[in-house]
Amino acid sequence: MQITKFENGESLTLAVEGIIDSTTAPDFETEMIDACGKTKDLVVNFAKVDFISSAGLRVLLLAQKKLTAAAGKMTLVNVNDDVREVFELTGFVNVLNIA
Amino acid sequence: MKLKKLPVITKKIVAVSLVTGLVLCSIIFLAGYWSFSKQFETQYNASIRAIASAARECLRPDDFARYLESGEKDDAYMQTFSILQDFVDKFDLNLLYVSKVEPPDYTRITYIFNPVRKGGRWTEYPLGYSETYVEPEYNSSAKHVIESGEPFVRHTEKTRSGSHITAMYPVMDSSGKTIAIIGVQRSIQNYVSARYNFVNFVVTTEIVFALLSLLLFSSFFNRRFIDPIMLVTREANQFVSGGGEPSDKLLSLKSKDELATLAQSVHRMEMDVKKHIEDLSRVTSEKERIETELGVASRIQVAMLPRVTFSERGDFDLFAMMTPAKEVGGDLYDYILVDDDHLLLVVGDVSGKGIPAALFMVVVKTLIHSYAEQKMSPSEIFETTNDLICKGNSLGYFVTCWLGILTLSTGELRFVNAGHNPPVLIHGNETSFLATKPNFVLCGMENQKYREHVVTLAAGDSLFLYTDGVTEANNEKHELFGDKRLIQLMSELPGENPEETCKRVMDKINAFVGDTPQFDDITMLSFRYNGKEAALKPEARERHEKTMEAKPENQVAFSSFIEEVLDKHQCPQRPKTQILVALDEIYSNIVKFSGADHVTISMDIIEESFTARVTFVDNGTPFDPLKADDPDITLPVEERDAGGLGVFIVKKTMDGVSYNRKNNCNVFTIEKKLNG
Repeated sequence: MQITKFENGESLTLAVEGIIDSTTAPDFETEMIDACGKTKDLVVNFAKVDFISSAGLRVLLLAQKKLTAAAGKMTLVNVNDDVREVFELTGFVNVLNIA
Repeated sequence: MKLKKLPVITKKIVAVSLVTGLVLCSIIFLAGYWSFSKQFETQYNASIRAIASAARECLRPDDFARYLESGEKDDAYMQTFSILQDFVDKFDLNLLYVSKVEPPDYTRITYIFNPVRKGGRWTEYPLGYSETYVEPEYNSSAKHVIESGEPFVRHTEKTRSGSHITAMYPVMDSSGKTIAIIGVQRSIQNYVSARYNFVNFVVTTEIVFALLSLLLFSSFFNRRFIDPIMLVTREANQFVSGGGEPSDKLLSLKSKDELATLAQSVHRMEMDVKKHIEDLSRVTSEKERIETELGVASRIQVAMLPRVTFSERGDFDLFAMMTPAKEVGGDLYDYILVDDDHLLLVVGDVSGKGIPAALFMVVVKTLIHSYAEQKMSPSEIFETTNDLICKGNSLGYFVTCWLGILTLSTGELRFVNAGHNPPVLIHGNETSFLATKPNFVLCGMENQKYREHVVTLAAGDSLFLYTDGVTEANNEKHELFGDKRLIQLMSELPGENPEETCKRVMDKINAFVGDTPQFDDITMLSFRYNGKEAALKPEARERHEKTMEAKPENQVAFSSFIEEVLDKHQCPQRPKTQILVALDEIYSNIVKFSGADHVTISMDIIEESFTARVTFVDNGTPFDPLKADDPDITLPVEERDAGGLGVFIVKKTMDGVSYNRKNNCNVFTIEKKLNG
């Protein structure tokens, strides 16, 4: 898994590449928490995320909670069908902002 | 030092000393006062008597009547008066009187002589002066003197005229008749003052001395007794609250009394307690270390027992279990598919229990396993193992062991028995021991021959191997479970499911022994032969298997393994992704929570339905993930948590999930149609 960061004024975009499972989730968590501290407008580009497991969902939930508490927002963009299906199955479509 | 800070014991001692001192002082004072008074009184009495008696001798009583009648003070009167006045002056009397006191009530007094001290405050009554004096004490004294003719002395203290002593003597005429009284009064003011001074002196001296000695006594007592006691008390408290460090200060008491002995004893006791605590913690940590090592040994032993169940074969089912009496046991069992047609079954029991027996068991099991893989016959396996171990077996351990090799295609079972309990054979409706004349135990003596026996199993036959922990299980009446009960039980069991059979036997044994602690290891191996027709055709399915240590980093290898198989079958991306997500969920759960050493993932591709079946087998603690409740996926973000999501995703994305506990392993199976 690789993460690339782009800053665009107030907003910060993380482009994630690879799979988010229990082995890569700890790195994903570090980057996401770090990003939550830096911006109130976080965009996560899922274009190159092949799949996500519950370990990754945990990180997204954590980040969403942090940003909600700080009156910020998180947007997931370019989510592929496999990943979207997982979000739908778990009801995460209701709590995440998926563009 | 403030009073409050004084040790209680000091306060008590000072209080007791004060009271004792006070009582002693009072006694001394009273005794002194009494003897002082007595002495003075005696002396004053004697002198006043002498004065009165001497003065009486100077009187001429026969002339009294004449004096009173005439009232004339003639020369003789004046001479007498002058003598009496001399008495008053010389003896420092207050006054002296000679008077008639008349019966019957002796209140009427007529004075004859009455010289008084010059310059004093007494009035001299003239000759013939008469008065009525009513004072009961005086009247009764006068009466006594006149009627009895005896003198009388009385003290009068603190009257208006001061304190004085008075002697009253009868005055007799020449006929011996008492006609008057001579009274001599003398002041005892000096005596009272002296007594007052005496009291003052004694009391002051006593108080000063008492306080002085109290002070000396207290300081001596403090130094010799209280200080050592306080030291011992303080050091003992410090020892109790200060983490058990003995104090050398206790040894500084050098006096040769019981207190120094006490301090030394306390010090020695502290040293002993400290040593004891150290010993105890050393023993405890040693015990913990041994227990940890026993736990590790036990896990190693369990890990060495075979876990596969061959459930995919169909031509036989088997199940085995071992319950050690201690952490580690000396029983062994093993089963190996030597090749596709030959199954080896072994059950054995090492003499003794615990670590030595377990170590011996491991050696025997490993040797048998490796000789079996070299395709040796049962007798060859035993003979080779026996000879090899006998060479290095100086400790005298031995093993009773039963070993059989079954040809699965024919049902022919060739077996050897080295002094072990005969297995139970269920053949058709008949349940009996597979009894043969056993050979000598393994590892008992070199160059033993083990005779091979043959029996042919039919489809549906069962074999039950066990160690003597089963038949010799004890109840509180010291009865054995015994062969009869075992045969009876085996004939009653349906026998179709080996796992069920072992568990039913175990339940029966537990019910039989009750609360009696397990004495011996209990091992069972239940085997059922289904015949070769029941074997599933291997070509109908394709099987892949991989076993690795349960470590997070091995997940990548498992993923590649699954991906490789799926790619070989041109599995579309979507189900592949879902299977890989499922692998992540299940594998990470096993690694994090089960405590398993190894995970085996096997994969079948069922051609007809184009379905992938992935089975996860781990030897961790029993856990059925399917029993957990599904998470509530409708909650708002603040109330959501990520728990239970993994299994939920697996359940939702797979076409079938199941959980089983088999051979002390968790078996979790998922199925996914690949063309869906």
